Amino acid sequence: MRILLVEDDQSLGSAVSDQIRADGHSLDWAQTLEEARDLTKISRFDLILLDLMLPDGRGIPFLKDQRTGGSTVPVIILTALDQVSDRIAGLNAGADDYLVKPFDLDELSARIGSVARRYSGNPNPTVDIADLRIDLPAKSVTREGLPVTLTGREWALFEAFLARPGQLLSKAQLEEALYSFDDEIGSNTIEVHVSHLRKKLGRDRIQTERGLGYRLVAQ
Amino acid sequence: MRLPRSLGLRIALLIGAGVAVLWLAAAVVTAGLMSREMNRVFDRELSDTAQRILPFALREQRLRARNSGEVQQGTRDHSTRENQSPNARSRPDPQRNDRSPNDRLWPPPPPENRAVARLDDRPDTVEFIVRNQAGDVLLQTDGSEDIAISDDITPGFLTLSGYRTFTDYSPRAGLSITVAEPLDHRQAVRRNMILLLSLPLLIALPLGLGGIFWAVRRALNPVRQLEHDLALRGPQRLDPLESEHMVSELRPIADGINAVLSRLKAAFDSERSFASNAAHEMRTPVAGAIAQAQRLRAESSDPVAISRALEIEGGLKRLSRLSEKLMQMARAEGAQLRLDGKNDLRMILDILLDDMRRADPAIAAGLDVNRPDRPVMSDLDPDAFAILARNLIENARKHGTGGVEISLSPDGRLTVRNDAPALPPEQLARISDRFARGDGAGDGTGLGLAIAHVIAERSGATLELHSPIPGKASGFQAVFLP
Repeated sequence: MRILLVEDDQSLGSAVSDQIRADGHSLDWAQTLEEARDLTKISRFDLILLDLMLPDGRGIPFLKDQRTGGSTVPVIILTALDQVSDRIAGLNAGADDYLVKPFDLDELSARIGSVARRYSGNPNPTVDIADLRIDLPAKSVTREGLPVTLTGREWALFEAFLARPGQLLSKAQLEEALYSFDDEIGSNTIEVHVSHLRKKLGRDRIQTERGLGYRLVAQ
Repeated sequence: MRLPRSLGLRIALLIGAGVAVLWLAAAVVTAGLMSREMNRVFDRELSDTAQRILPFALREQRLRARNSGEVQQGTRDHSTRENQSPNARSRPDPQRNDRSPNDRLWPPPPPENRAVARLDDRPDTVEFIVRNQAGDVLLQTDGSEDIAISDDITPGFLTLSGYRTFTDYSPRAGLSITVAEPLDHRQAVRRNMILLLSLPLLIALPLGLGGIFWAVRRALNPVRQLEHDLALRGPQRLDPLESEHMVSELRPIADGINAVLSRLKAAFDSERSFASNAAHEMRTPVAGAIAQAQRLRAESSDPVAISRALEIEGGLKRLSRLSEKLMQMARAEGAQLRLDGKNDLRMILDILLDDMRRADPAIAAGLDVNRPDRPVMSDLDPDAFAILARNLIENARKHGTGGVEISLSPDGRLTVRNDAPALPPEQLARISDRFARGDGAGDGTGLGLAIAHVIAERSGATLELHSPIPGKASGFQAVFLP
């Protein structure tokens, strides 16, 4: 997933970034609201982690702007404001979840997974696709009961497919999912990884639409 | 003189006293003027009476003189008598034309013949004496014998020994008449007049005072309304008073109160935002440090480094818990705990429990929640209620054995129970003191119940702690009545 972190604290931001990258997501880190606005204009994110008190303003108006602008990106608020009323205000502004500082990084990972799953239309942490059983939080895949080992990049790519099963994903969208792994993504990187995935998960799992992109076959 | 405390009574008394003094002064002046006028009227009456009687006396004497055959020369100066006696002129006296004898020469009648008796028995107010030039009494009323009338027959008014006399003298007839009227008659009339003038005061003054007091009370209605508004306000309502339609005298007061209220509100708000800002300022670096420690743990393969990282993390979490409790305490003591609007306590409890479950999934199994289906509305600050409920539940989890029973009644009563050995009464009594820990509460901050107590106390609610649970042999129960 491509995640936007909006957080001004250096120490917390770097730890959260490391955690999210270690989870296999790609991450952009904005330290001000202005930066965050610019980033949301030029890129599409799968999830936003939003601090509420930033040097150049509050997170709630930013979130409201996103929502009134038609953005449906899932948003998890990370904040030091621990009051129930702040929480209600955040949720009412359109946040999907709320995490009060200090939080466990593992809890953050779990919440990201759960929000992403809800958005993909299946809140169940395990997904069954034909002979595949995918445990999303554990990032493990079994095929006919036998474990399949995926590399970090392969998992990131597969997760991008899982987030939108049956939908056509362009090469550019898939490249965004791998953004965190390579600063320079080679011209055939996606093809190589898709071919590896097909070998591990079955030839027919991923269809190629010529000139357009790829699609995960959910049946 | 000390004025009464009541403004209404004060105004009524001052106005009433002023009116009474004015009235009395007016009555005194009126009585003085009237009494002068009355004296004049009485004097005129007296002189009129004298001049009315004189012709009769004259006639009487002529008759007597004719009878006694001693007819003398007539009047010497007709016109003078007529001037002195206008009554006689208007009513022509037939006797006047036949040359009357000189009255001065008339002998006085025998004493038994002199008295003029009244026709009825009523006491006469006016007595008279008719005398000749020599001072011999020719005619007199019964009562006049008891009066010491002056022998002086000079015409005019005299006041002596309780009587007002008027003496008229007819030089032509040689007769003088003295009419006397007792002064106490006049005094009685004056007394009556003063009484009549003061009587309305006696009736009008109390009535007027009552009326003034009523009117003042009515006029002071806005004051009572203001007082009522302020009384309704209670300790936590700080919204401004409605001063738009207030009477102009009270408006500055209401505006002044509003200014104080808004300053108070601003102070509360700043204290409140200080608490959350301080929380933010502390939480973020602590969160960063904890996250860094967790990353260190995740990225390291050295068991020593991992255990160090764990220890740092544990210490930071304890620091974070303590700072959170201190913030809660500051918030409970400083903030406004009752709001103008109402919130559903159920929703707050739900959010809180959801939060607690997610933070520690192990909790979920131990919570037995019982809440009504209908909203439980309360003006309690939702954050304060959440802090209170969280502290009661955390306390129950920490010190209890087994699960925690949480129930919210439709009237907002929150009951948190847990199973635990019954506490001795003295320990129960001091359990809500700050930093007082129950036995075996290793990681507690000792602030939880104290915070709950402060919130209950400051919001005008009650928090009751029972151990053992009433009707049971053991357990601990906290009941919060908002």
